[in-house]
Amino acid sequence: MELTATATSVFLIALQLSVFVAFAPFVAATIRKTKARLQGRRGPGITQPYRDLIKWWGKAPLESSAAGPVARYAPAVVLGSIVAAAVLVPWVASREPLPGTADLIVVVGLFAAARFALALAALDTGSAFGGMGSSRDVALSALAEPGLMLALAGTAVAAGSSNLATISAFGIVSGVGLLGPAHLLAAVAFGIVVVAETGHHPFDNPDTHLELTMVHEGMLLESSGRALATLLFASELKLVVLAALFSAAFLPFGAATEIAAGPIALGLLVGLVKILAVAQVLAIIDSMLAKSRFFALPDLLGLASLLALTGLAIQVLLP
Amino acid sequence: MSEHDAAAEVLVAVTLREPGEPVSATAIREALALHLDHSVSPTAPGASGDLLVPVMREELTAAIEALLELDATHVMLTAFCLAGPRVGRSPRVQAGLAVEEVMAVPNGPLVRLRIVLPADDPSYQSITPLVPAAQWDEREARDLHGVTPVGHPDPRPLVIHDAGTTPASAAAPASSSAATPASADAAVPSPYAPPPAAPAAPEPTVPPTTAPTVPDVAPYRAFVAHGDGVYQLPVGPIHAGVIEPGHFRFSAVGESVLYLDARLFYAHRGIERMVEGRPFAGALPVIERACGVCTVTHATAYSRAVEELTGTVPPARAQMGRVLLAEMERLYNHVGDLGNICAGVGFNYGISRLGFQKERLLRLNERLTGHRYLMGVVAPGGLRLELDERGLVGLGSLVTDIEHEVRATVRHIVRSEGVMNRLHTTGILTNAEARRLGALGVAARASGQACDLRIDRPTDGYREIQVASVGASSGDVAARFHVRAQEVGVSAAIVADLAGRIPDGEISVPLGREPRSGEVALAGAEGPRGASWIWLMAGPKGTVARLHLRSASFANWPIVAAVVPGNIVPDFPLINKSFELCYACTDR
Repeated sequence: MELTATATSVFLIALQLSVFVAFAPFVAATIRKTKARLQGRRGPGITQPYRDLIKWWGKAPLESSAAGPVARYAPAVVLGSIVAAAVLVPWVASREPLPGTADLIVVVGLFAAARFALALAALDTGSAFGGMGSSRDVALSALAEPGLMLALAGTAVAAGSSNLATISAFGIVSGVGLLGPAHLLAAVAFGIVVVAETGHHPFDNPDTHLELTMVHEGMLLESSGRALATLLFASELKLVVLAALFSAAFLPFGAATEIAAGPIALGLLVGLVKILAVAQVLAIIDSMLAKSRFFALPDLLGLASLLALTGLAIQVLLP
Repeated sequence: MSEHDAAAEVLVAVTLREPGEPVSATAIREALALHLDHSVSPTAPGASGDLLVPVMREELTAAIEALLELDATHVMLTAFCLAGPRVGRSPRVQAGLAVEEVMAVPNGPLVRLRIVLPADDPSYQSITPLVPAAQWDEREARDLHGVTPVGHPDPRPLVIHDAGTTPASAAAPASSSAATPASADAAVPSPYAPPPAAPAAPEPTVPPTTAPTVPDVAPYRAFVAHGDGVYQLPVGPIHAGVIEPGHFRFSAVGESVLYLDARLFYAHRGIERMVEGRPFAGALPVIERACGVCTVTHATAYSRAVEELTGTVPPARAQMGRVLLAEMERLYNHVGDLGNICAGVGFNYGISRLGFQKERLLRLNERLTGHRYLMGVVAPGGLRLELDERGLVGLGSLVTDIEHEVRATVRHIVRSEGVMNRLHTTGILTNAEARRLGALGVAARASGQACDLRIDRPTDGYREIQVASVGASSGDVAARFHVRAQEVGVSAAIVADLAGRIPDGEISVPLGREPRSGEVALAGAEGPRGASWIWLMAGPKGTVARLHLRSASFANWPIVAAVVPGNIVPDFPLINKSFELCYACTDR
């Protein structure tokens, strides 16, 4: 029994991590492709993000003269935090890959750690854009965090546990009954936060070359070579993990409830489709909306918090 | 949604034109005499009807005050050397430097106030306190010609970036102003000397100790704000995207801009010196390439200046052809600029749809003239090439179709809350500021200033057609967006009207008389960014002695910097794109 549990964990971790890592640049490519199609362009090929990463990985980073060890090691911390989060989120199966660790607060904390490291690194380079990007990113995520926590708290209250595997399993057991008003409000709030966290319109413009408007890109301006490859891959991976988190907490249907070839295969397929769907929604939002005025963004994030809070209140008061 | 549509209607309903009484040359002479306490004797009006009024350098400010009372506006200020052009190997005689301030009297002629400055003391009272629109003109003249505007509120160098080294075009006048006329030989470079072998780039390798230095030029220091929480944000001249070079120093608190110091002239190639000594036809390709997107505007202004010097009247077909080409240039610029405003807010729909229509216009240009950016068509005497017959056939309907597409796209953009929310109240240029700082073109019209050379001082075919005036009053990015969108309609209508009825006949006539050496002509053309002016002095045998190009971008750049404070940092690219100025034809 012990051995089986360990083997299952190892198998799930290996499967999830390898799929996420191999899949993340592809998801980024599909976003670019959809946007290009919607703009009447052909767009770069599906393999372009892979080629970019390989190209940059082969180059030594050029460091700013003001940069110190923080900027040097931060990319590793950023990628490490996101990879750790990737291992914790139940995705293929409604069972955490690493038993007893898939606490949603841990996952949120890992995202925060990644952002903290990136903001520090951007400040450490001494570039004005890095500081500006950090300041904006931290301001936005400080406002996004309550929405994120409250939205997840709603599902945790419903499931009676803050363990993502329990929440996921509870969702599958509840079936269609899960999709009550409280759940939907929290899901919308979480969706808004996902858009903010992944830096898409109306929060940030991932394609911009206008350095003064940059948020996430501003923090990467001083990065180059291997460090740039690491950070870009981390942000591609982050999108996949956030989509997986969304699926685990709000739309767990399709995930395997038992460890067997059939359900796992189905869970894998459904999981991939859900991640791609989230990515396509982001691409469509990018094409439809303009980037908002920076000072209008707190309103939108406040709305996310309010929706999540309302959902939580309904959950608690009208269980 | 309908609220925005209604707002757009109100914006364009603002009337800009107020017909006024014509002001005669005599009235101007009397006004000047009143202020100067002695009668002035302007020379006979030139071909364009401009008045040359020589005044003493102490009288310049008084003369300008007299013109300001007539509501005159600043056109340009240029400095030049009074020495006759070198002929053969004979010694050059330097009589001093001259400064000309050109002002336009509404409904009246252009007035050129000329002062002569001795070579050993080329200083005069700065006119910028009276005419703020001349702020960059005076700094440029000081940097490149060594004249000193005393009392200029901003004495920092403009064109010259590093004290101790000088751009190619500045070296000569700067050192010659201190040199004695008698020692005129190869060691003292002349402003009229043939262009140096490699005049294109400033010489960065010259050691500072031996390089000629410009007198009275302090090292450049960015103007910045100080205080608790104020930080500086340097941007450029190398940008994250592939765009022209400019350095912008923001002083900001949080995201709010307190002050913006713009530093341009990284693309200074010295093209005004490059054309000195060239025959009229030889200077044209250089002027056309001052930048890539105002080709017809600059070529037309230059050609008209040459035609005035030589007493040439281009044939009717060429005059109408120039109008057609100018409107095609305005169309592709405006459509592209509308798309760029969308890029400023990251609105992908507008970027791609308008970019597509701009490409269609560029292909029409190519079909019409063989060149997507219309180079090499307009020339002194008329047009150099016959407009392609196949290009003219169906041009009107194609342009009308493009205009419909653009209008449909603009309607979608205006209905997008997210976009219009960013455009409204961003980067407001008030009517008073637009007038005070001498805004031109779309920027001026969007702030309620009647300012369009096609209407105010029509030349060529514009005398025979009616150009509808477009304007707005709010002066924000949205106003500039709407004015451009409306002007696309106006230009498309002109093209559709003219394409089928360009008069037959010759496209070009030979230039008339050879101008006297030292004769000056002044000509302007309304381009997509506003009026660009060419000041042209003839040399011997039909050559250029001195040329000054004051582009609309040059006029509007200081205004962009003045408009930004009070806005937030991430809105700067949007404000910048709503003016959409060239760096290249500002820097020259």
